[in-house]
Amino acid sequence: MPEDGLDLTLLELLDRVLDKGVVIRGDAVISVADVDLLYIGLQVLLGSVDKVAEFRLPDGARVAW
Amino acid sequence: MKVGVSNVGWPLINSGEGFYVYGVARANEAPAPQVQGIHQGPVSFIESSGLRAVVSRVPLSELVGEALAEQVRDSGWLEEKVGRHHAVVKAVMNMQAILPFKFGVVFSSQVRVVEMLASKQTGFLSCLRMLEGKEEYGVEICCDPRIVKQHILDNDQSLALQRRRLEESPGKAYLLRRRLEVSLSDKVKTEARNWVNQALERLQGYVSSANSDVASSASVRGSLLEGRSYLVEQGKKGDFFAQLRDLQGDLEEKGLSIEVTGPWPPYSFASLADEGAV
Repeated sequence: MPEDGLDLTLLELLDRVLDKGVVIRGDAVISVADVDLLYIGLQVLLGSVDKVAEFRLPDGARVAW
Repeated sequence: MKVGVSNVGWPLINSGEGFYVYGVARANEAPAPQVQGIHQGPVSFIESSGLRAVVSRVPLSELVGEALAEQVRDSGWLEEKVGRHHAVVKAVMNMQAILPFKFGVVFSSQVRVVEMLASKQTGFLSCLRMLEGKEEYGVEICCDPRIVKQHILDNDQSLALQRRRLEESPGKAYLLRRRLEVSLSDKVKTEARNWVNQALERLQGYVSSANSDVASSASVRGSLLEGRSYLVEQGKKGDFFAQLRDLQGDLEEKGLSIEVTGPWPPYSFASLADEGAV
C-alpha cells in the first residue's frame, strides 16, 4: 500500500485542486467550467483515446468547478 | 467550453500584474518554497494578521477571455497550471500546515491580499488549528464484479439451491436460469454495498468526506464503489494503515480492493464556516 505521495492520479489531483479547497472570491477568479477539460487531461495521462471514452459522462452532464 | 476570468466587485482588471493565491498558512520563520509559480515566477509570501498568503505574480492580460480559452483548448494548459498549483501547496505543506485554496484565486494588488487575510483571520486560524498535524489520504474501494459474483455463488445457500434445481430440471432450464441470473445480479449489488459499508464502519474513528462525483463516476481502476478522503493525525497514521491492510485482506477474496493515495494537502477539509462571503 503506498504511503508516499507519488501515487497520484491526475483525476484525484483535478478533483481536489479544482473542486476542493477554500473558496475565496478574489478580484479575479480563473473559472474553468466544462467537463471536456477532463478528457484533455486524460488523453495526456493515458495517451489513448480509447481509454478516455471510459470516463465519458452522460451527454449534457456538467460539472461546476 | 466555458473558460474565463470573472472580475468580482472591483474595476475591470485586464492589464498589469496580479497575485495568484495558493493558500494561507501561519506567519513563521519557514522560508518560501523554491518552486516555480503558476506563471514561471518565484513563490513568495504576503504576511499580515499573523498569517501569510502564499502567492506568485501573474500577468492579468493572459488570464482574460479568449486568450485564455485558446490556451486551454490547444494544450495541456489546465493540467500544467493545476500541477503547479499543487506543487506549490505541497512544497509549503512539507514545511508547515497550509490551508489550500481552490484553483484560480487572483488578487489585483498586495493591499487586496492583506485585506483578505484580515477579513478572514478568525476563520483561517481556526481551520489551520483544526488541520495542524494531520494529513489527508484518499481511500477508494473498487470491485471486480467477476470475483464478487463467484464469491457469492460459492457462499450463498439460496443461490446454491436454485442452482441445484436448475441442474435437476432441465425442462425448466430457461426460466430457472433467468431467475438465477436476476437473483445473482441483485445479490452482487447489495452484498458489495454491504461489504463497503462494513469497511467504512471500521474507519469511522477518522474524520472523512466523500470525494466529488468527478472522481467517483470515473475511475481508472475498474468499478469504483466508494471514494472518500480521510483526515488522519500523524500519531494515528500507523493505526490507520494497519486498519486498511486488515480491510484489504478481508475484502480481497470477495473481489473488492482498496487503493490509497496521499498524503495530500488537506484540500477536502479546507473550508471556512462563512465560505462564499466576500
